[in-house]
Amino acid sequence: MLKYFLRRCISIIPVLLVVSILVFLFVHLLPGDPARIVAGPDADEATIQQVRIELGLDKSLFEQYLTYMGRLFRGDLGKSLRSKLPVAQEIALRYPPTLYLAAASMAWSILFGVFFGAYAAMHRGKWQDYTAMVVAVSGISMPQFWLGLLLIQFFAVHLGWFPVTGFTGKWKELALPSLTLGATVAAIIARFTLSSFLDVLQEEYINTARAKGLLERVVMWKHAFRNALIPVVTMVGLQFGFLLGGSVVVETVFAWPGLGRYMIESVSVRDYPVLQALLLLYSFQFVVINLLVDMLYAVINPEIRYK
Amino acid sequence: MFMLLAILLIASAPLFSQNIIYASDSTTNTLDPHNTSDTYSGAIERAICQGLLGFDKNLNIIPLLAESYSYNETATEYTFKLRKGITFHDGAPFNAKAVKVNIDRLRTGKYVRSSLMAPVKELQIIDDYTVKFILKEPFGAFLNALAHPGALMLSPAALEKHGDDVRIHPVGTGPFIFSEWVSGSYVLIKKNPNYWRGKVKVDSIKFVPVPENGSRVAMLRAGQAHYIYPMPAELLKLVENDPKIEVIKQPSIIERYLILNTKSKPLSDERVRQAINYALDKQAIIQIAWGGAATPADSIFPSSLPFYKKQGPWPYDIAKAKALMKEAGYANGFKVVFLTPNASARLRATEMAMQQLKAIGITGEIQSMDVASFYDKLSKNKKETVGETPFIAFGGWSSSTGDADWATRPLLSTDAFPPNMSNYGFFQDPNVDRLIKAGLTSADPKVRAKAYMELQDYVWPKAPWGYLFVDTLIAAKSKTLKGIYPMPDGAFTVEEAELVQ
Repeated sequence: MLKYFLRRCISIIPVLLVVSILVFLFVHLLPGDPARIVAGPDADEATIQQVRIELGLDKSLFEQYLTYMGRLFRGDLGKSLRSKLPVAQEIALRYPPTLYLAAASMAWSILFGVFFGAYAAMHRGKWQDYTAMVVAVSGISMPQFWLGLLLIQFFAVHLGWFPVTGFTGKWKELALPSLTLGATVAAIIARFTLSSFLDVLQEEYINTARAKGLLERVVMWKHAFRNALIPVVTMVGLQFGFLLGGSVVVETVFAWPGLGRYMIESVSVRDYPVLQALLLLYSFQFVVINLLVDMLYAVINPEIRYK
Repeated sequence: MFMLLAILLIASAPLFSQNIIYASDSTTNTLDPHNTSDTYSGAIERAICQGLLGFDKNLNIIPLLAESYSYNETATEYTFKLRKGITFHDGAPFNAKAVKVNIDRLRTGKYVRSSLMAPVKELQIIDDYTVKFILKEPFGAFLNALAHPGALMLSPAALEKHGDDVRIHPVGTGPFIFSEWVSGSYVLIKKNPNYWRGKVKVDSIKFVPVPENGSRVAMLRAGQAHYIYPMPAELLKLVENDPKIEVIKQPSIIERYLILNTKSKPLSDERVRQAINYALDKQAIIQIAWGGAATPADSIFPSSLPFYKKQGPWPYDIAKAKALMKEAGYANGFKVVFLTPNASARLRATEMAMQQLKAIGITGEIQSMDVASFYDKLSKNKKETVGETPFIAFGGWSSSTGDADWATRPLLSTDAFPPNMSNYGFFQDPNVDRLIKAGLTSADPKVRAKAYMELQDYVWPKAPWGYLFVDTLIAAKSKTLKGIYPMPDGAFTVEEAELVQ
């Protein structure tokens, strides 16, 4: 088990290496010249050329790649073309807000999602099932910006319970954005839990358990729950990976100083070093989450063993 | 008795805080004025730093750190007498040496705004409070270059201490002292208690980026922002009846137009370009695509700029447009490519123009892309080959120096062909080049006025563009806030800010 874990950890390195190359190429293939954007809409060519030299964009793509990789091996992500601040510092500023938002949204969407999914499965075909799934489908289909603005209008402008936007570290500021972001995730989890439960409930061992005369509650929570949870955990892991990338829509609506908004701002000004670092970070997060999910399987179902 | 006194003392303290929150759609990129290319960062810098000259809220040039100035007839020598007794926020004195340090920094050519000082051959220190700029060649808009936010004065001590890191440690002479910048979250400035022009009435201003229109309006309505810009035109109805909110409208110096590729057939034909102008229903585009927040263009540059002369608006007349198309030999129309940035308002405006041009037979596909790709594409056109593809592109311009020169030379002169500057339609006319030069090489307002007025008379009927409109800037603020104004260039001034009850 430990050996497997270590092997997986080491295998992250070649994955990230390949990703770093792809990311570099992808980012530089975007049309648009960062020097022109940094220099401003009314700059003349001489100024733009000067900026190109300042930013090191006058060198060949291959030279730029070598500089980038050389820095990367030294743990240096470079400087933002726009703000000229170290990329690591810019990301460190925006990581906590995104992390808090992701964790808060995830926490309550797991709670509600799994509960409602299982609940609907228990009451398959009855009104409880239909109600839960109608809520879930609405949760998936509601556009986040619409839900966000609606919540702002009601809870922040009308009732004045919560601040409209921003994040300075208070839990109150987390409420509306995490609700908005979590609504979609909770709905996805609920749907997933339901179908996973229904699959498991058709298994032979469930019939056996029922035939033994066990209470339905015991069958559900003791026999079905653990097994039904496995695909749900994969799903949750994936969703958490997405959330950690920062939600563009929710962060924009709530003026959240996180990674999602930073990504969009950086794309629009073609801030190469920032884009490269963010994409690398996203990949790293996904690889780590996948590893954790695999480990979790073994915890949930001790029959799963890794060699 | 003591109790009562204590209560009275507490009660006499200000009842409400004098801290202002300014929410905007933009994000601060840098606070180094010499390296700033965006209006928003420049406007915040103006609250911290000042230049020898500045603009009042109507974009007239006013002396700031310079007390007075004079220039010679050929516009090659400009002398400035500096104000005495002014110190930077860090205590460094403002004098001729400080000016030289700043101008020399710009003249290294390393900064985005270095181009402002490109005409300077030499800067002489006459005495502690007099400096003289000697220019390489006559440059009539030099005063505007010194009023530009790119020529703000930073403390020489701060420049020495921080080097290029002044971008996060700006120190100037302005009404506000830089306090804190949390990248992506806010910029905070605090009042300068020793401001040389008088008492600053608010304690601090916090600039917060709020990209989403609806959220910005919600912040204002919930009392969590005092001033928002831009106020989205489509949400005006929401705040117009709110007794606590006031809407401010300000004509801008931002003109929008359709760039016509004048090197390509049939757009090279003046009559065709005139026909396009007759076929454009400016009012309809303003109402539908721009939320009504604009006025039809009535010259080649907006009326808030100096030396403006009214020409239009160009009448909307389909019959005349069709007649001109026929005269030019294109009665059945022709095909072009429409290019536009994909920002929703600009895309809508281009689509509407496309629809209207269909009436005179001009059709074609639309290519929309993000702003960076759009300008990348336009600036890669070469004059030798651009004639092969007739295109119509949605363009816009704001003269950042607030002068007529910068509203015409980068857009219409032969020197401004891409990639050098922004004459994306490759409009070329020797008479235009001559008039632009005449305006550039004199500092005498009379001579300049004559050149630019003649230029407007001459260019307007030649229709290098499909003239559209001039933006109206809309901001909204709490009625308790006074003294913050939007400027015609999209910046703002906060020096006189005040909160009243």
